[in-house]
Amino acid sequence: MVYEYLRIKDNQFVFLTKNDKEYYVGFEFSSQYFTHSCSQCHKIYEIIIECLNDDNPPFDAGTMTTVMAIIQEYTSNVSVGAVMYKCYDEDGKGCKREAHFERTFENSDLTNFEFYSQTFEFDTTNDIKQVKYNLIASSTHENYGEIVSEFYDAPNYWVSDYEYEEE
Amino acid sequence: MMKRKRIFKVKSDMPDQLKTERQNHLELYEALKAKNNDKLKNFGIDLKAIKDGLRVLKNKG
Repeated sequence: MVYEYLRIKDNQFVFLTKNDKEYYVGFEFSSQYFTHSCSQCHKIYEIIIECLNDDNPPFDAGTMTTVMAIIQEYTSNVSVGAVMYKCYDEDGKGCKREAHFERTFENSDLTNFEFYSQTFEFDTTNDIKQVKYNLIASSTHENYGEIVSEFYDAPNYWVSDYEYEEE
Repeated sequence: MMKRKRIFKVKSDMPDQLKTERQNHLELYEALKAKNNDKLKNFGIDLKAIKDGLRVLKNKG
């Protein structure tokens, strides 16, 4: 089920769940992810999802279904070619939601979109830190190929000076 | 052919740029959780607009 949502600004939405959980969904250009020169990366928007009145909201399938509906609406604008979702080790809540994000996407109505992800594991002296970036890209967008390439290219600029291998 | 899922193992600590990127990401989530209007403004988010929007939805329900 999709909860009723409200678009409060061009890139910002809110909705309420059946349990009165208040959600904010925003889309931002990730200027620190794409610091290098790229031609289509400005069409990739990071999605921010936050429950505003509960630090640990109970699982509700309607939440991510509603987020997918919001993504569908937001990406109907030609200036938006893809949505990126980030997951960091410290952000436990965001990472839990990330697993739901992929599953919900697979079962959603976003049929003209493709899912991509890339994970970086940094092997420090004390522990391993992981960052994960997911991308939902519109396969019908005129710049689809470039958008996906630039999503994959960006972190390579950060780690190019380091020793790394692809699994 | 591009791979759908890629995993990279990096033999070092995170680059400074990634640390900054991650810190910025976490600050945004913390500002939302704390409903800190001053910090949210820096991210282009208006707390009043959020509250007004939620009030509209509550009144509909």
